[in-house]
Amino acid sequence: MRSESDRAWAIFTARSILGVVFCTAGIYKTFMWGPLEHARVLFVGPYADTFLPVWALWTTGAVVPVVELIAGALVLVGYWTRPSLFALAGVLVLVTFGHLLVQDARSIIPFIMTRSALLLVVLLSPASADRFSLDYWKGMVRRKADTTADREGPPVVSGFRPTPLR
Amino acid sequence: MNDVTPLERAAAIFLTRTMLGFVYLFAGVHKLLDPGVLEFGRQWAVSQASQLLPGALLMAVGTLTPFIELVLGGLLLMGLWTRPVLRCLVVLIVGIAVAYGVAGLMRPRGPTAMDITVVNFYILPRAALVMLNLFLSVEDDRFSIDGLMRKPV
Repeated sequence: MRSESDRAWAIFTARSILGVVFCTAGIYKTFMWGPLEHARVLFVGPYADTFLPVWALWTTGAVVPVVELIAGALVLVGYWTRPSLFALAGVLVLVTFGHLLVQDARSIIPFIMTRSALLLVVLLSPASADRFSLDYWKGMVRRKADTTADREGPPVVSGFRPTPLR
Repeated sequence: MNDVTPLERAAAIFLTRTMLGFVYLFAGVHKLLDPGVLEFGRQWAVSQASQLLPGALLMAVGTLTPFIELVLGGLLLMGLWTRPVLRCLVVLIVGIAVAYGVAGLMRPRGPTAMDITVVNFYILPRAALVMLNLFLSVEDDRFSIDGLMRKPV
């Protein structure tokens, strides 16, 4: 038998580290570097000789830091975890394409492979097992409210409470 | 027959637990021997973190760290109180990841700010072993003191 609590701790480990790594990168790129400077140095400059349109390089280069920041912070606290994981997975696919377009396959190992492995651990674990996340607590509060509402019967509308049929 | 036998599962969890135990045991031993607890604590007190946290606190944490690693590593090797020890390690690893994240923002290293060597060769391998241990069933850990003390069903 596998303890649910142990599984929650394992998911917490992967989610927290993933969140810290992306959130740190997002803070650095967004506030210390600036999205436009990030786009110019890492996207527009290195890919100037490729078939990729310049407007797409500017757009993706400016959007990626913000996505990393917001999605990384959300993953860290476990709020809207699944949509945030999808957003980060999109970033990882994008940068994999970008790296492999101009570099050899080894270039994706240090930054992309490790983050992808962590992301997959969280993504392949059931959301209901992630007990140390805000999503889990939000779900618990909602379930509790639903249970209370069921116990109290239908809501009173304008002073009228329907009586059950006998 | 494709099922994994209890013995194979026990061997798998023994391997991951023992590796993790040795990693922490020797991390503690090496810090105790060189540079020594007081010097290690002093290094923490004068580190980059001293810009954010009091030196005395850092000195205390730095001095205690080798002992904590030694004890946690030893307990893992024996297989005693394995699950509480693993949870302590989760807190330790996540705390270290946050610390290196903050350090990366104070002194950025590379395009993602965090030191990639630390993330890939220090944080992630340990986190992977801890997660693997937590994902594996505690009942399968037969080659441990916890397993010996457990009453047979």
